[in-house]
Amino acid sequence: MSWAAWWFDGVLVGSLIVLAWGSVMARDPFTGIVRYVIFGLLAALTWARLWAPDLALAEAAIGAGLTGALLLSTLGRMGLSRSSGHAGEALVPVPPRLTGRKPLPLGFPELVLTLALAAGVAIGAAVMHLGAARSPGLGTAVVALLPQSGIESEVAAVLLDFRAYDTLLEMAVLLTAVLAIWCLGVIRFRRSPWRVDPVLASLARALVPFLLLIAAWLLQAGLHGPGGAFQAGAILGAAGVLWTLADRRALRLGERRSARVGLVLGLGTFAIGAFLPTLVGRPLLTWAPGSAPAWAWGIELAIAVSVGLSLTALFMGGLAEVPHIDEEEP
Amino acid sequence: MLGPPELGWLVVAPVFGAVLAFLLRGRSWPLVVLFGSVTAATVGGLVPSIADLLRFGPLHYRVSGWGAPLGIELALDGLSAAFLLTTLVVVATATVYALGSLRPAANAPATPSAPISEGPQAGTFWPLWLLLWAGLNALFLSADLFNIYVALELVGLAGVALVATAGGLSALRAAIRYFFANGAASMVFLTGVALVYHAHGTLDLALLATRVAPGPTLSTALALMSAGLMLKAALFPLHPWLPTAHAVAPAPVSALLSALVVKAPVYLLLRLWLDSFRPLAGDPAFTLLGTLGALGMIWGSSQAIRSERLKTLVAYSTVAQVGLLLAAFPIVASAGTWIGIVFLAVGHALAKAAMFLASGGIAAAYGHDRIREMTGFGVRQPLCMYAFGIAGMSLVGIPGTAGFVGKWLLTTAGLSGPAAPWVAVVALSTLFTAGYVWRVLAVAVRSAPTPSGDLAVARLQSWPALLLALLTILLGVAPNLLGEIASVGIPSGPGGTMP
Amino acid sequence: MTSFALYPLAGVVVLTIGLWGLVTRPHLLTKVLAFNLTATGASLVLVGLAARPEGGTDPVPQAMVLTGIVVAVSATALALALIARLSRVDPGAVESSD
Repeated sequence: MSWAAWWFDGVLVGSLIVLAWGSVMARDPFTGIVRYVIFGLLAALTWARLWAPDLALAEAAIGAGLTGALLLSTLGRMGLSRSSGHAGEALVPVPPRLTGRKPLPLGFPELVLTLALAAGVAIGAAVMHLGAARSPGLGTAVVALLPQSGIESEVAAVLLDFRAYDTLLEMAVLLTAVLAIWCLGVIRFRRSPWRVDPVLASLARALVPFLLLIAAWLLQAGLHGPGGAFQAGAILGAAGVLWTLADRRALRLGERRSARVGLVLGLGTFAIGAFLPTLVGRPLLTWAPGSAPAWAWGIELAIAVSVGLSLTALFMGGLAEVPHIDEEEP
Repeated sequence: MLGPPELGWLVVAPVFGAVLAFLLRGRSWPLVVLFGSVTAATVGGLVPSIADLLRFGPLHYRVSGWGAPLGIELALDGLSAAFLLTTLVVVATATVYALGSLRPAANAPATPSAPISEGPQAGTFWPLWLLLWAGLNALFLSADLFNIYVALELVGLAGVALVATAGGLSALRAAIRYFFANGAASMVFLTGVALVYHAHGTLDLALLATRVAPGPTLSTALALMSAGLMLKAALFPLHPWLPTAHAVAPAPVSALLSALVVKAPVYLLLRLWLDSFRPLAGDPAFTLLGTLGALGMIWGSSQAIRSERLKTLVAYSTVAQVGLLLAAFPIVASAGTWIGIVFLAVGHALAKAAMFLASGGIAAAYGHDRIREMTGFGVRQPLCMYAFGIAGMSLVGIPGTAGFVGKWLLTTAGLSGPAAPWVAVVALSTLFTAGYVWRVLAVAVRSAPTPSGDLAVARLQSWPALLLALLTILLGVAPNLLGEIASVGIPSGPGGTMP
Repeated sequence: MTSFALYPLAGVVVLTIGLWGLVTRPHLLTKVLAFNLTATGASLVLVGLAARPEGGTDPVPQAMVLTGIVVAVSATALALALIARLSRVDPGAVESSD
């Protein structure tokens, strides 16, 4: 049993490292991105292996899926993609080579490599040293306080009760990213940035309700076991991405009042939930005894909606349709 | 002592303000929301908390009611209170300036070469502004390492976005560089946090202070967290991302970035090295920090003296001043009191914000910020010149300013102990700073060849700068205003003597 | 020592590769990839040390990494939006120095 575990873990860890190296050192970014997506999927497998199914779900959907899609669509929009057929290409001049800045000074990569290796060895040694002496962590504390919280799932209890404040700030980070992209100004397109393929569109239409169903199931499952607001939100985000690919009306996301409310629903609900206890003399985010599951349910729903919409908005990256078609640029 | 529940408003009020500012996009709503958030955070949150701080000593606060080690705790002592107050003052004045400068343009970045126009982005500036403030407040309050990581990310991403609002090629490139430096720093910091968690099973700074023992794992963890923070603080030689980002951003954004966003990692370094991880931090480590700081002070100053643009000069001055703060670490470590460095940091925050707002006003009037071509701006924009000059004097450390109080406290604390060589660095910084401040003032008072055109600066753009500059004098004349608050909860012994 | 000890070490290696790529690789998209690698590397250290071979993982690091994944994708999307605009505004200028 033990040697089988060593083999499995060894091969998994080895592939992770090889793919990480390969994606950074790839000659062209397209190959690098493909390798990175495979790396992400293996990372999801790793989380499953490390008894963290919640992370496996999130990593597969967000880490590999959405990040990969984002990278590929950016590459496509820069006109560097190997695949052709993006309508967006017509508008974007093809950059020769999107390099950083001035060429690196002589000897600089070697210096960085030495430093990186030294740092890596030092951290690795620290991890090894920690090995046996590491603290048992807070797992037992979570289990002990779970009944007091009332939320059944351990991870959900940490996210929505014990360390809910982290999650509040995390939702603020997500909103910041969406706002950040929007404040860069919108890239407007005379035509839709991509052709709406009728087959893809009908496929997407068929898939979206299915994805919504999965999201709903993940959401209710999250309070008892694996699953939860972020996984459900990730699936909603996937549905949103499909929708943007299939339906040009998605490009008006930022203009719809309902969508704007949905984007801040998670953070807004959280902020109200944080604020109310202070009115009765309790600290932020202190749920009244026994009310944590009810709060958790409401906040999970709000978070899932916001995460889904935010991920969709992040994927679109500030694309929008031109309201007045004729007065545009070349 | 438990803090009042309203302490949390410092974070929640700006977050809520951001949500409202995002939803209500009318012409006058931003004003209402901004005013409401600032008032709620100040009157509701900060004032009663500081009153409690003065009465009962350092406060802690159990978010969600659980308490450490499982829950997240906030903490308020003299150090964090000083930074929170500074944040409030700088954010409030920069907001006034931004209201004056950004309103006509409706904060849409207009890049002539790119087909960018109005759309969903209209009205995204104020929510980002408020989220940045929320992140800063969260940082200064947090007593939990992972929570600090999330707050750092919030501040970092909002900062990157606000740099990019300047629009145009150089802003995009500066924002991208800032992004990568900030992102790498965050992940290195997070790895350190992971090691700390697995070594001691808690992330709470107060608990860690009781559990920390020297060893290779924790030393590595502290080194990683410090490396991340040093990159975020733009400490030499990790500074190259800063001058472009801070020089290119809109003036009120630069003010926030240079005065506060760069100060947050310095604050955290101070917390980690002098408070929670004190047993780990040996003399060689402090010598290394101090040396990097001294080099940064010299390098930043020499680049500032040579800058051709006013905002670049001010940005390099930030590199120099961050270096000076770090060079003061060995003094603080040997003297055991943070009061001197607090005055230095607060003084720099106020002065630097004043300088950026003043240069923004001057640049707005001239349409550029090339130092050579703004001869005699002192006659045309006297308010901006006074603001820049007074702020510069505080940076130099002229008696009667906050900068002087800081340098005086550090000198008296350092001269008697083993950290005496570092006092020389502090003294040296006075000369270097005088060099680049004098360069600008010399241009300001030189008589201009031909006064041409209308070069008036809007009132909302000059008075906030002057107000901030005057505050450095106020702190210099009446240091107890800040000293009394800032000296609550100093880990070992009472503060130094006031001049 | 069990085979689970490999994971945090792999995290360190992936983090180092990411940092190396972030500093030395010229292409901005590769830098974004490298940034994501550093995030995954840090997460592997955090969760890899928390996993017990006999089953069960401390839920606190799990929740932290979940937060980290959402933060990382937010940051990535912002970086890519900046890069997309850079390539639009002036594709050639990215090769010249500051």
